[in-house]
Amino acid sequence: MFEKILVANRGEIAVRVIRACHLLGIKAVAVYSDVDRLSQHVLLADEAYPIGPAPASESYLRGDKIIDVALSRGAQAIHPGYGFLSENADFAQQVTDAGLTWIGPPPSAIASMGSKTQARSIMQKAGVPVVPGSPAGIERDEEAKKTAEKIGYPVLIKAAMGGGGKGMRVVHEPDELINALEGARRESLAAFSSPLVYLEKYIERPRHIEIQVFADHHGNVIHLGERECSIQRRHQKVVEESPSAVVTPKLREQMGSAAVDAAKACGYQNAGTVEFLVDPDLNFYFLEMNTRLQVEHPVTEMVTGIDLVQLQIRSAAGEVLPYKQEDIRQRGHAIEFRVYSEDSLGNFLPSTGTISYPKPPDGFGIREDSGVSAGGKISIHYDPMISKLVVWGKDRPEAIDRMKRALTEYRIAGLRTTIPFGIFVMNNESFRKGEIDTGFVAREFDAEVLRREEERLEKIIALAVAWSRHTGKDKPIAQPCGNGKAGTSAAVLDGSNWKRKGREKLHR
Amino acid sequence: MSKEIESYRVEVNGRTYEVGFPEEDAGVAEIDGERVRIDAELETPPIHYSFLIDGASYLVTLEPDDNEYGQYRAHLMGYDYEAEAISSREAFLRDFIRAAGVGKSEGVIKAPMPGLIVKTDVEIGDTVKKNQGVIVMEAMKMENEIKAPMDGTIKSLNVKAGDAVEKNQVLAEIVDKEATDQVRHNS
Repeated sequence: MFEKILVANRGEIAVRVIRACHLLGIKAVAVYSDVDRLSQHVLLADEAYPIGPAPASESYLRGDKIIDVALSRGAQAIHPGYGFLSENADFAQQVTDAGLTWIGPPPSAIASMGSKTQARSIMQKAGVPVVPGSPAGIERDEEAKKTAEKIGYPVLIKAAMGGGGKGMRVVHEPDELINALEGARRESLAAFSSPLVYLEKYIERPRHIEIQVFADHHGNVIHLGERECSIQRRHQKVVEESPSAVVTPKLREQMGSAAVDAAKACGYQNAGTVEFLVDPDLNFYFLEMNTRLQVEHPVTEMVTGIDLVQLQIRSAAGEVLPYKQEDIRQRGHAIEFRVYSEDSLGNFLPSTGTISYPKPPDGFGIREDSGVSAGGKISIHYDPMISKLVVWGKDRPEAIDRMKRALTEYRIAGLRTTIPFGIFVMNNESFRKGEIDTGFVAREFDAEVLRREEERLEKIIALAVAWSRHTGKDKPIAQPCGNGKAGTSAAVLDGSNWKRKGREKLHR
Repeated sequence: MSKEIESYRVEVNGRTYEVGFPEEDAGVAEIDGERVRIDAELETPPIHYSFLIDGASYLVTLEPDDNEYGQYRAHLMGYDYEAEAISSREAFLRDFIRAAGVGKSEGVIKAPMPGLIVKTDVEIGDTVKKNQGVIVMEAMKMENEIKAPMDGTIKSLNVKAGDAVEKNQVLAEIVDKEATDQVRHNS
């Protein structure tokens, strides 16, 4: 087993990995950018080293610096977390070439699954069902037009090298195509350094259901059941759960074995996720494979009882998978809600700021994976996720109620968050019935409902603010007022001690 | 019988409330004429307060603005509020000053968040319709289209593609048709 692991990430996932290291008695090395000196991952790690300025391209994406730190500080392995360099095959190769262990899949598997078009063709060959679409990256507009006509509108434009919804556009009408292509290429170029996009048949009302797979270095591949991630805004997941409300044991077996086939087809090792679109008739289509730990991995951990990050580390060290497929059981129901610094009432626009004294909920069945603390800044440089709130319940209704309780208890100030949106989802009839698909937010979410609730509570705020102003509790008083000395204002002289604050602004 | 009440004008997310505290009873407040019992304690310093209002329990975070006395950012049940409390005397003064000022009908387009300008779709002098896309900016690696708040003419455009902007930075200004005609007439 390793003695020291470098964690090449920040935020909650770095914290998650450091905790797994400590559980195994392994020392954890953190790296951090200039703005992250006081981030949780730096505080929790055994050692921490600076790697550059705030922009990720000058710090967390600097593979060379990260490898230097690992080598000079005696780490034997690198865990990339998710995002940043986690799906960068070149970096994985450089880590291996430097004599370090890469805690993740082989670079070849990252590369083949990283190209969505290549992934599609590998999956087709392996007999895994795929969505009809264009075979390769489309460069010419004419070609895109022809392909779109062939597969039929609506079509989906996707970044060939991308993920996470960036560079993605739905096109309903032929005359929208060119504009959408331009936008998608621009976003793709900015996010993934490649303007290459491709087209896919847009499946109406699909559910997003993915299978967690795990492969050791000895040819054993298992799946750990599904996660449903249909609640998305801007094509990004916000609520994830396991099991899915619609997956039957039979469907789980079919999707699970398709996912295991997919992992075998690309020579996979370590933790990976095979994403599927599931149509209303429960046909499933391969969407993509994520060659890393997923943000939403905790829901799988909560229902299977398996610590996936610990398993990743053990497996990378060469251990044989301690589980067979039949050992994997789902118990109860888990839901994850991503708390983002976004305005629930304002179209999910990013809200930046400094988090003041957060008070996350606790109690039975609640897990919070958070990488920020009081005074933690949510800056424009990184992902605006504040924390992942995860709940477990004996069944889906209980898990939903527990999430609702957790969200209403969550106190966070300093910025706007997706918490009101989360409460909306937990109260929503369709969600509670399990009747969801990726169009849920567009169809069901009504910010007016939240606005009414916000307005209902305004009176409380008005009273609180007036009380604070009235009592002067908001500001330390430098010197006693109202002592009757010459020059003291009338407000003080009339004997009302509590009026003294009122004059300050007037007399400034 | 005259009772002395110290009152405040409170603006919460743009709506105005009158809140008063009768001097003879510290446990009472009046909001828009309605009497409630109020009990407040600082629960976790420095910003988490417990309010009991007619017995109902609320956990409110109150963050006073360091620079603008009387202004607060407050949170309750996951909602975010911007609030300002001014005394009735301050309110009186402010109304007086406002009444003396001159109103102007202009639309100011501000950056809704910090980010990067991707492109501008208009030039100075262009006529725009309400909700027409004017500027595309990128924040958190997502593109957001910023729309015209009103019909009118672009009076100023302060950014170009590639510019980094701060939240609330003025990106462009729109003047309505009447004002436009007036500008033309005057020049």
